[in-house]
Amino acid sequence: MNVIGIRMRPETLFYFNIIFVVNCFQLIIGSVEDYNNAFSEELLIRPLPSGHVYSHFEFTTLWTNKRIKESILNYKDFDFVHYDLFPRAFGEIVERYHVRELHLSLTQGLWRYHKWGYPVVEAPPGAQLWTWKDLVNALSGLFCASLNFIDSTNTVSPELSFRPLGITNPSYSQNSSLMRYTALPRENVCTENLTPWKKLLPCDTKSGLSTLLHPTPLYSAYYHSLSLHMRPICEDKDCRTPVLELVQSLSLVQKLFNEMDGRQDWTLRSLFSAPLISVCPLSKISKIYVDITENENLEIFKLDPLPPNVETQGEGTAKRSLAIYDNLMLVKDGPFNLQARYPNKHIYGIIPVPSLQVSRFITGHGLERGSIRSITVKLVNSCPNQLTVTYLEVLPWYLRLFFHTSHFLLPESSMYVSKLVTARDRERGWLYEVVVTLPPHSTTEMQLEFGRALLKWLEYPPDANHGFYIPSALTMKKLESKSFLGMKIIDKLKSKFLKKKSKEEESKEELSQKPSEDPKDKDKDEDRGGGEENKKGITLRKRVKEVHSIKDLAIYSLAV
Amino acid sequence: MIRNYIIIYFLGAMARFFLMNSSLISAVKNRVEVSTPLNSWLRVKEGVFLHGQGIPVYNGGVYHGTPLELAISELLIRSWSNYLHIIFIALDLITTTFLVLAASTYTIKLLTVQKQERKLYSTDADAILLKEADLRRGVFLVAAAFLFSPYSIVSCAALTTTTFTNLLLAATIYAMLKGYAFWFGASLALVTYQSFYPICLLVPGILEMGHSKKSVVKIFTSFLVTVYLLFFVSSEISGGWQFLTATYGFILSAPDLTPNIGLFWYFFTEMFEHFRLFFLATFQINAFVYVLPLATKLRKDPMLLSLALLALTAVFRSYPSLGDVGFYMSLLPVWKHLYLYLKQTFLVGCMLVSTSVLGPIMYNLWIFNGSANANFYFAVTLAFNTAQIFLVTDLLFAHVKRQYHLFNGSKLEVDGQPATLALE
Repeated sequence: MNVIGIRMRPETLFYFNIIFVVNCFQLIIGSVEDYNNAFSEELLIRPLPSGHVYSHFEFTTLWTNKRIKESILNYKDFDFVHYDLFPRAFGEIVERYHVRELHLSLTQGLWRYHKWGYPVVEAPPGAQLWTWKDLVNALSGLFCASLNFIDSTNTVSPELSFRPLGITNPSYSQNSSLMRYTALPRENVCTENLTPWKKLLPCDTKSGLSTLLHPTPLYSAYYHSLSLHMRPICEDKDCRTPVLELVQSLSLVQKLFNEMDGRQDWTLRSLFSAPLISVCPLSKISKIYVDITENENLEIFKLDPLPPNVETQGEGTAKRSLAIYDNLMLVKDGPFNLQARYPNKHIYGIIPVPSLQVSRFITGHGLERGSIRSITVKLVNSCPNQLTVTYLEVLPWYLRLFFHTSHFLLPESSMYVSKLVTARDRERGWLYEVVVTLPPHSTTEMQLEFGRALLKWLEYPPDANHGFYIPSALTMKKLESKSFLGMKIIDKLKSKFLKKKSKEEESKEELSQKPSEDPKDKDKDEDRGGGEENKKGITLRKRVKEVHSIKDLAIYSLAV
Repeated sequence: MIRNYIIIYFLGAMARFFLMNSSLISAVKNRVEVSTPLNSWLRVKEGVFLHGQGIPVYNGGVYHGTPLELAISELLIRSWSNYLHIIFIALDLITTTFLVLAASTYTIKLLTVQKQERKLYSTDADAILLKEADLRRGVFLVAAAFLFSPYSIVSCAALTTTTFTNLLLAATIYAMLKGYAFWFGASLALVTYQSFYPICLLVPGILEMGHSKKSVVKIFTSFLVTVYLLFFVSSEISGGWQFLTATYGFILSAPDLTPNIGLFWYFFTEMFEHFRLFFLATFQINAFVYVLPLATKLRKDPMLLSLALLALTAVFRSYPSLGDVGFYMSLLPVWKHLYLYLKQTFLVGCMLVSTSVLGPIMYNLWIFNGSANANFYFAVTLAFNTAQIFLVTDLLFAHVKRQYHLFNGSKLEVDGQPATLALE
């Protein structure tokens, strides 16, 4: 069995507070009965301080039966029979290629951490994938994406990054050879990917929240990310009911401003070109959440209709308040067009920076090797604690890295290389994974010198004027064991929550990441890089151990 | 005379030393003309670094030197890094000494041959007979040429591993001319191990010492034994046989298309993939295909044959550098007596000077300014290589002409009509 994560495009894998909350509710309401199949659809809308509006759709399918339970607990290949809500096209691929966990994201645009904070799910620009050749080809067909460009030259197995998100035992989760990670930074996402993705939903686009997914607003957004995550999770504390979870999510960042009136007003219709008219009859939960943090009294913007329910989670900077709408109730009275009205014009202010920011850019000029060109990474830790992060660089072979000249400009911190795979021409790419300790309130700089190989005429990518795209770097952080937020809700809940929680926690106090671009690099063929970061919730693992004595739960989250 | 040698040694060493310590070196040391993927010191340092970190060096695509070179460089970098410059200069001075010794051995041999054949020469050949003083001057010029050739200075100052190779080559040539069969075999094995192409020097060595069967057996024995030992030691150092594909496989299949002064990179960048293997073989055979015909013609002058082979491999090898060119060019003054017969000195001289100047300019226009492209640089390197081929053919033809005049007199007549010698 293998863990396969597939990620595409730059955003995706981070679950933050909000989602956490979302999931809690979902579970509470929907998971009590003795079901072996459940579907829920949720939409989170969060107005951002930069004037953008962030919408995150999440469609979750849970599935369990005797065979699945046995497969999960005994680490056997999945063997599905009698598909119901779970998409058969996808299930067959999972079965055929012995996949245990899979994360795929297709993203267009770059998540701006410094402006937008953390997304619920993070992903780097382009496409990302961990897998085998055949699986890649099968997924290529399923999603109409060029995943077939994934081969040995861009696939890696990092040592510390990307731990399994679902339940595993320690020997399994520590064996990085079972995991494949890859990224195609240049992969474009468009309707040809959206349509097959929508077809995996039980209701397709015939009813429910997925009827809001019209291509025009989706593909004119500033940021757009499609993703699909499959993992085994536990439904109860003792892990007596392991469940296979499939989450399909879609994130959007849009700016609707009408410059004339300067207000951040939005409605479902203005965001998605349509109001909500139905609920997927197969779903147990169908809800819309609006982030009203710091707007609990609805003074900054007013919601119409007024939220029937408001939940507040966390404290301090991690505090989140959500207005919750149950679609089932609302669509009864005809089309439901949720509206937010701002009495005042939008004021651009200083946006608090995330606690960990990473930016990456390319310095130097010319196309040659030498001291003139290097990848410079800046890690800014703006929180009062020392942070230990894992930095992962996956680079194509045609960049020739020179490690003896690379260096860290560290104030008083340390670093060690956890895994280094040197590239071989046309056969294998670079994998450079380091663990860095960042002192509180510090900026650490890392430089990696590189040269560029002259390529054969066939090896240049199409549209050579674009130059080369190199995959985002990833920064991951172990979660410290801190007080868990929202314990009361979690109490009853399952490991799934725990995971989410870990993310929440991260978002709250630990890190963040940010994508970086290298706008500097104007000259031709060099690439655009995105820095990413990532965190890893290892702490959770400990905690989960207490909960499920047998199974070890590892959590990771990843940002671009 | 000794004083003159001391002076030029000193000046040559100073020239290298000043270049190494001047600010110019940063502009020179990583130039593609000087440092290729095979001999670049930057890659050696990277290899040593990776090796020190316990990362398998030959598994990756950065370092392509031999394991012994890696071990020696590791020692140099670890323990002698403060004296690196001095060591490289000293290596070049030793190379010069070997060249001088080889050249004087060769001139003595030429004079002996002339004495033996004097009776067979034409009566009016007196004017073109070799004179000892002239030849001695030629030997001195060999030293001067190697010490002051900009190609060798730059190559040494950039700390390329061609410096090691040149030392071994000079020792091989010296052993060959002295008739030291055992040492010839051993040093040839070393230099072949180091850069592969010099294996073609086996032919002139056998021609030189072929008169006794014993010597030939000695050459082969010491060559094979040394190669065996070197491979054994290498596999111990690098922990396996992966180094074979990373070094010789790299030299033969030329996967790294970084521009250099050779002919491979441009062709293989542009080539259709299904022709690649065919042309690879064709290009590599080019370096060796001239061995047989030249050996037939120059069987009595193995030193000249060696020079021709060195020049041809400097042109046709997959990763040539200026260090290789500087080495064989510095041997040319030995054949000072042939200069009279050279017809294209002006042309070749102009080509060498203009391409040496234009090369870096075109490269900069292409890589940094983006106002030129690969064709510009390739055109210059093509002209540079053409000039070298002109030089070698001109020299060989001059040798043939001189031999003709020695035996047939200075008048050229065919059936009573004035005639000219032409190369066809």
